[in-house]
Amino acid sequence: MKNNMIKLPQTASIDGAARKTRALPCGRSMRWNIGSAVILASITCGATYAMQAADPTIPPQPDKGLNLYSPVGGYALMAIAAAAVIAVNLMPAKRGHQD
Amino acid sequence: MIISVIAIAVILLITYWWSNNGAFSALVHFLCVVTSGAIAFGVWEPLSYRMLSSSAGEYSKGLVLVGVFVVLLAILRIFTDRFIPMNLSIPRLADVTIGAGFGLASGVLSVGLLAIGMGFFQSTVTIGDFTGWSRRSDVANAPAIGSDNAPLLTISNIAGGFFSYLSWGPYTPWLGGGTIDTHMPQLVRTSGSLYRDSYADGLARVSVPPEAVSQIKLFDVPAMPLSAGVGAKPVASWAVQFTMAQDGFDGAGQQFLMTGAQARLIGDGKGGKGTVSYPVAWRQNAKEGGERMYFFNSPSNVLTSVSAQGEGTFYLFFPKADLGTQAPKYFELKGVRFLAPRPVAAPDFAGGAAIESGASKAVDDGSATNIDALIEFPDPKYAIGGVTINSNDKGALILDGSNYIVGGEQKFPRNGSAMVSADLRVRGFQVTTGQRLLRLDASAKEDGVRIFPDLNEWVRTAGVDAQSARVAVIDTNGAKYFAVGMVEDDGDWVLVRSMGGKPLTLKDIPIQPLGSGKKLMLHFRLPSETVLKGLVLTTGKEDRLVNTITLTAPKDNN
Repeated sequence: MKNNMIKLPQTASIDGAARKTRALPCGRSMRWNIGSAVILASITCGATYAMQAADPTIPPQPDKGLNLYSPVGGYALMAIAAAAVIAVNLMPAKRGHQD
Repeated sequence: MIISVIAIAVILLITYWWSNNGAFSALVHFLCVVTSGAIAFGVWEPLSYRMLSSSAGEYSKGLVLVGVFVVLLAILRIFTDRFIPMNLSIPRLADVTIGAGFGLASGVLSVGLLAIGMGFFQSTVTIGDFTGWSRRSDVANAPAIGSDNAPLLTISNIAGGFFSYLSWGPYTPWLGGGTIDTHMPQLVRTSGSLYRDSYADGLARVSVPPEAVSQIKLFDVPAMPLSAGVGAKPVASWAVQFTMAQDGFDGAGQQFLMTGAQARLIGDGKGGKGTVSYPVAWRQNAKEGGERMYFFNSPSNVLTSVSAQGEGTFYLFFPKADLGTQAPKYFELKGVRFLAPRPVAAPDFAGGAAIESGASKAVDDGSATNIDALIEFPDPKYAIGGVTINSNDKGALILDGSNYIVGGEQKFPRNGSAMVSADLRVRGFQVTTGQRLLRLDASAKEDGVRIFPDLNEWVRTAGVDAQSARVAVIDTNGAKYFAVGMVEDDGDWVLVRSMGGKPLTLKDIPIQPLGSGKKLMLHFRLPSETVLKGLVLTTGKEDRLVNTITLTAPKDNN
């Protein structure tokens, strides 16, 4: 049976020289690095949010759940108005000929 | 582009129609269109302003302009067909060609006027693929207004320009001597689509009842920074102060919202055309106290009154340079034009201290009693009291999607439908996140609220002033929170009345004789943790403190 697994170089090992070279200078594990990146990103997001919240140029915001208008009424009136204007412009002239 | 193509197709149809009807008929129709259009513009504002306070207020300007045009054109056509029955005999080619010419002119004027009129219906800013003039995020400087140059604007410009030109002569629509260019400059920009460019892409209000606006003042402001940018260049400006009452608020009286496209200062029209300035900054109460400057440098920056407060005073800043050499003559707010008062020297707008707005003064009538014991802060989900209402039997009450009451009134039997599932149950008067509902037992009794003639001499003697006085609670900063609804329970029937955005006045309250045994509950909404001072009757000139309150609204549980 053919073995499809990639053969690692003879010198490769979990704590080999290549692995050690790619590791961050602090020498911590990859999991630790991902964790620290997430924490740093969270701190950055939090700081940005706090800065925005404290930004005096951001005006008071409208309440959530404010009852606003439905545009349907406006659309309906527009359609009626358009139909009326077209209809009145296409009223046939009931005018006979002079001769 | 599709909307513009449809408009052009309609114009071509009208052209074809009148080329077939002949030159003389097309000429008569054209004259009817011109006359109807001129009269429609003439009566447009006088009629539509009368409708602004009605339920059709959001559509009044569009309805009147298009409605008058259509009705008049139909009448004139019937009239001319009846009394000018004969035709002219001219060669066929000339008949068709001249007919097409007048048909084209009629089509352009009619479709242009229709487009202008449609721009004054409350609706979304973008309709189909048409936006026209609006606040745009790709325009860097306040008020960030730009255009997409839709072809429909050209048609509107031709019609608007024609009727503006006519308004100089015998067709002048303004009996007071003005013209469209002096009273409603940049008509086409306004109609397509700055008038509709309200908060939430046009879903907020586009008009206000004129009586909701008060305390208009005009200030001549020396150069000061009107931009949020660091090291912003000082700009000389005109500042307009106005106070907006709850009648002009959005969301059934919840908050006043206004974008930078919904206010403008109009010049005196020297030279025949009024210049226009849109606001680039405003000043208002900040939620955390004091007053602050804010800037219309982004479409997302919207002037917003402090949550739950029943009125707000604002200052809009208009760059002087925009008006050129003209002096400000009109202040237009959400399509309603007010005569600008004589300018006065500006107060210290650069500072953070509250500016004396000249609003109503607080008056303690000396007999105020404490009513802390009559107040509770119920859960708004079950706040009506006395009756359980099924939303299927709500009658004339208007509910939002969560069955909170936002308008209307209805009488219910005291213990009608006690078994109502939670999903169908009508809740209390609507509050939003961060707000609390204050329920005040306002039954007529000794040591109760002093808003009835039997308990307050001023109410008994002040006549109309007292009857139209609004009932509000005020906080220690003087901010007013008007009653949003009332529940009257006479033992057999419960009347539930929401004010639907209009503050409760004494004449809205059914007569409550002393000793009648009726229970009257007034409902107010206010921000959580508001420190209250008392109950006032506010007349516009003064706020009469009739009862004191020493409570603080609890935190919002939502």
